[in-house]
Amino acid sequence: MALRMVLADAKIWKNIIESLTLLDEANFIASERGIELRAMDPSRVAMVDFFLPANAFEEYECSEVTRLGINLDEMIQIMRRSGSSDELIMELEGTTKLVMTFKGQNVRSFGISLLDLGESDYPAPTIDSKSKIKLTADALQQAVKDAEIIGDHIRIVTDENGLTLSASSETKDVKIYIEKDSDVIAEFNVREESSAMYSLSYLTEMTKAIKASELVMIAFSASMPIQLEFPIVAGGKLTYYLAPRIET
Amino acid sequence: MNKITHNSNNIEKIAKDFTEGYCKKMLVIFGSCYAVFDGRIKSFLPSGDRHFIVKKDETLILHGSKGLKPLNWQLGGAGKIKFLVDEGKLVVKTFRPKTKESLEIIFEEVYESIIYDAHDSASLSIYGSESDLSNYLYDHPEIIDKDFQPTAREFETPFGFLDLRGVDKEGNIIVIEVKKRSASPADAQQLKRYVEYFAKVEKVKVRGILVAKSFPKKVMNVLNVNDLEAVEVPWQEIFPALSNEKPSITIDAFFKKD
Repeated sequence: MALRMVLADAKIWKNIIESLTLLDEANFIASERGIELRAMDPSRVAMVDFFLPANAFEEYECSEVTRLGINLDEMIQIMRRSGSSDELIMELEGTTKLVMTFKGQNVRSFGISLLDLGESDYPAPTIDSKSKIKLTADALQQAVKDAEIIGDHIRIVTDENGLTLSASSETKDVKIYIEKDSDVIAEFNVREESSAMYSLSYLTEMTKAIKASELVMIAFSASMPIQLEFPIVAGGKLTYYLAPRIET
Repeated sequence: MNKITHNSNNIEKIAKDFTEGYCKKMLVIFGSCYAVFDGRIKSFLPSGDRHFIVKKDETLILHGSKGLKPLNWQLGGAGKIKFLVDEGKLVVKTFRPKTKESLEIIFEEVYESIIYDAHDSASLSIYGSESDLSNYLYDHPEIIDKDFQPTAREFETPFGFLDLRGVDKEGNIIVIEVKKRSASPADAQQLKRYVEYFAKVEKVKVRGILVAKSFPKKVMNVLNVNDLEAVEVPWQEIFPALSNEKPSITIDAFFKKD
């Protein structure tokens, strides 16, 4: 079993790992296609679907499909030790250890034990989203930050003219309106007016992925999960799904 | 609703059925057990009769015969739970890889075990109203006063319904008005009317207590002048679930059905 992955810029992997804060631990699956991950958060309200293709790597060698059970807290700590111009080499040592090497002015190697997390292969949720909007990740993050100081949930409403995000509590409320012709919108496709509500604490975690991406695609329908798809600059994508909040 | 029940005679079968039902059904045991917890702290729970529950999301709860809080618990998703048989006893083992913590519950005897095929998609929508708070205080009178013994809720008077009524150990009547919010002078006035009413009708000493989240100074003045008492009850701590409500549907509800 041979697995060797080299990224020219360690920051790419750092941003990805820092975007996975909804998960405590996860099974990455390396295959000749690239490396991927699909996992639900412990409360099963959200799902992360990540893929980084082999061609995003400087060097990529994977002789057979390999499951890498990772404690993400441990990996974040290691990735935070990466330097700005470091190259990252990840190699499997034996079958239970992953060695992560930062190559810059010097060479630093961290080893982490792999966890046996069992096989947990989930399908992606099936959603026929009536609204799909591509906008700058920053615009979404700002809206989420605005809503966060107001309430626990955000309502997202689309119609033919634009997108409205709003939140309210007993004493405060906020409304953010983004017109479809706005500069922050790259694509606007609303087949049917949609309105749904989502938990802000999850969206806050999800919009952390902003460092890995410039644009985000939001897709949702009334009372259905929202899908946030962040293309990764180096290639591949990071997708989150979040179950809606039931309105009574 | 489908359910399977076992008695203590067949531990092997319980372990097998629990393993099969794990994460799909609700697993419940009444039995005598002891437990060992090893992690950031170490603890040993001696043998006793317990109510053990594993929910469909892997949440584990071990309740004793008294009290609100479980003796031990583990949140869903924290670690896998295994059901084994060791020397003829049912052993429940959990391991949380993140913190390397383990919990082992050893059942010396299983009085009854039940596997429920439980379905529940509803969420609690009304929770923590003023009357919920009154009911809670009725069940936990020591929060108000260690001598307070409640005798009635929603007691009708000509001035409206009194939230709680009871006695203290001297035999005085205690009347209580419960507010979730901060107290207002009107609340103090209302309490004063109740006290005067009962003093007149029952011809005994009546103590009036206003329960509220907080007491502004001017309300305290009204209470003091009228010889009424104030008890601060932080209802948010009694009903914590209100502030961090979670969405009630999980994402797997949207997976394509085979």
